[in-house]
Amino acid sequence: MKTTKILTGIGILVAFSFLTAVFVTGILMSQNNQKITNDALNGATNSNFGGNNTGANNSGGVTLNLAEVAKHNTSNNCWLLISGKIYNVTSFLPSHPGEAQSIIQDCGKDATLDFDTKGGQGNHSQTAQSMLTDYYIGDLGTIITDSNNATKVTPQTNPIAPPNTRREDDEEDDDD
Amino acid sequence: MKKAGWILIIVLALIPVLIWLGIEPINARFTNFTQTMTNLGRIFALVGVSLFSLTFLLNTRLKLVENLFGGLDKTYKAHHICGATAFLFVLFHPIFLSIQYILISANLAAQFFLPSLDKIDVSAGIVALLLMTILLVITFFVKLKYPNWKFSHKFLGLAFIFAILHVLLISSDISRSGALKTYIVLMLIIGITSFSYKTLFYGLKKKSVFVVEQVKKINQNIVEICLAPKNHFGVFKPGQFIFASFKDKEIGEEYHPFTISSSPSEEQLRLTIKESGDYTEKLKNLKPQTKTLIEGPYGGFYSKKEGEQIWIAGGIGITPFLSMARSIKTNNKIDLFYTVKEKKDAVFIEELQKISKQKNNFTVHAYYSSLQGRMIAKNITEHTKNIENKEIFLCGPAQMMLDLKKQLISLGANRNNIYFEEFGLL
Repeated sequence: MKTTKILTGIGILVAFSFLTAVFVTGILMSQNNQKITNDALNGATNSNFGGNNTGANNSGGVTLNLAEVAKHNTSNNCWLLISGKIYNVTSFLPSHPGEAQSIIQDCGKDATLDFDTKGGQGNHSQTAQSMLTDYYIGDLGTIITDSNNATKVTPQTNPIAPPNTRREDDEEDDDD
Repeated sequence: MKKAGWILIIVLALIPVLIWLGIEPINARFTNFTQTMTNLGRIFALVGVSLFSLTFLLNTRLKLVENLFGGLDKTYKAHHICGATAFLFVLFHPIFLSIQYILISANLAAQFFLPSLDKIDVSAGIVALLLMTILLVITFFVKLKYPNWKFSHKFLGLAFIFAILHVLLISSDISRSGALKTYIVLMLIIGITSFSYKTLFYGLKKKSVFVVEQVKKINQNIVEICLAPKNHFGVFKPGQFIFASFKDKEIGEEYHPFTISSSPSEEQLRLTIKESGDYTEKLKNLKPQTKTLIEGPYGGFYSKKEGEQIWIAGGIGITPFLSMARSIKTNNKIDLFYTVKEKKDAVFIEELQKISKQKNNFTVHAYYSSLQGRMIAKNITEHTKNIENKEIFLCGPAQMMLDLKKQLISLGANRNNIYFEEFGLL
């Protein structure tokens, strides 16, 4: 009786300290991120980065959240969320060895489990894992600056590459 | 037999994990840190939701379930532990899942924990967990009055409904595997059926009707309530308890558990009650002819075999032994150790000694802790030999029972022959 009370108390304390830590760092980081994104935007405008940006387009950033992912839920416009990273796999659909249909049902959704388990049949190969990086858009929760490129559905061209810093994380993570 | 219930619970909570491991082998699930954390989160969900469902079953007072645990008091203890364990599993389920996001960014992990209408499936889980947390903080750390607590505790059913939505809506191994889905849905059905039975239909169950015949003051803070039956009341075994609801608005009409102190052969039912809180303090004001509804009997605090017995009572813990002493049928030796603080507290000693004079096999040993110190097992073995083969019954303050139980086992008593009431939980 006493033991359950103590254990429950400890459990609640640990869980809520964890949550507090996550939320505090989350808020701090989102403030930092915004600063970085703004800096990046300004920088891009000044140097006319990307060629087609004529400036004053600071609001052109797209926040990569679940609602945004959910918009891309068709076979002509298919984003997947896998382990917190977002991929535009539209151009890849026709060439998926396990039939396009098996991916299409996950378009606009978190497909982590399906990818990890090959829809419940096993594991994706190293090659498959590294192929995925070609379709990377950005991490969930970040803001991408060039929404046009990211959302444009042109099956032949790859979506925009992530900012170069993220590419490193990406490769590290995909060593699975 | 006492352990059967516990074994069943553990097995039922582990079956989904085994089915889950069958979907995909263990080595594919735990290849790296991120994956391991995510899959631990999944295991926690499966165990947590199974235990959560079973917690409701343990609250139904079904005879079948009671028998598996050797008494309703034990079943409630299991309900209590099972519920707390379910909560801990469910609580850490999202935390393990969030590790994969934390490794990317804390911001992302924070988003994962926030409910939103875009993700009803996840949000249902978050609501369920929040509700569970609030209600269990109330149960464990806020001292509410019993009827208020009981009311608050019912909302765990609502938390369970949100949990069901979460389990059924979210895309997971459960939605993917037929076997796992079948098992978990079965568990959920057990849970929701038990909950509806207890909250919605239990009131309709037939209760025995009594009226208060007499309220006798035994001493300053002990009363004996004598109840006369108005309709049939089933047979009880000495040592069992009932739930009683006195129809008196000022006292409160909710059900409370009381040990029966009369012998089954008596026409009336007697309850001997010590003032120990708001509710029991008011019982001395009960008026004769007050209608009383009785539910029961329950409990497994009675002899299961032929043989010698040791009875150990601490203070008001004498009540089941009053019933037992008033109805001794066996000729096997019985030693009652009645421990109270001071002589004046041994309110039933005269009656017990009288019974002892009539029954040669029944001996009463009074023990006064103010004079002799706290009773230890040696005080018992001084007077009675061969404790290894005897059934031992303990009823009294929780700490005293636990200490004595431990000491008696170390002196050779058989764990399976020791019975004690878990009254604090009812």
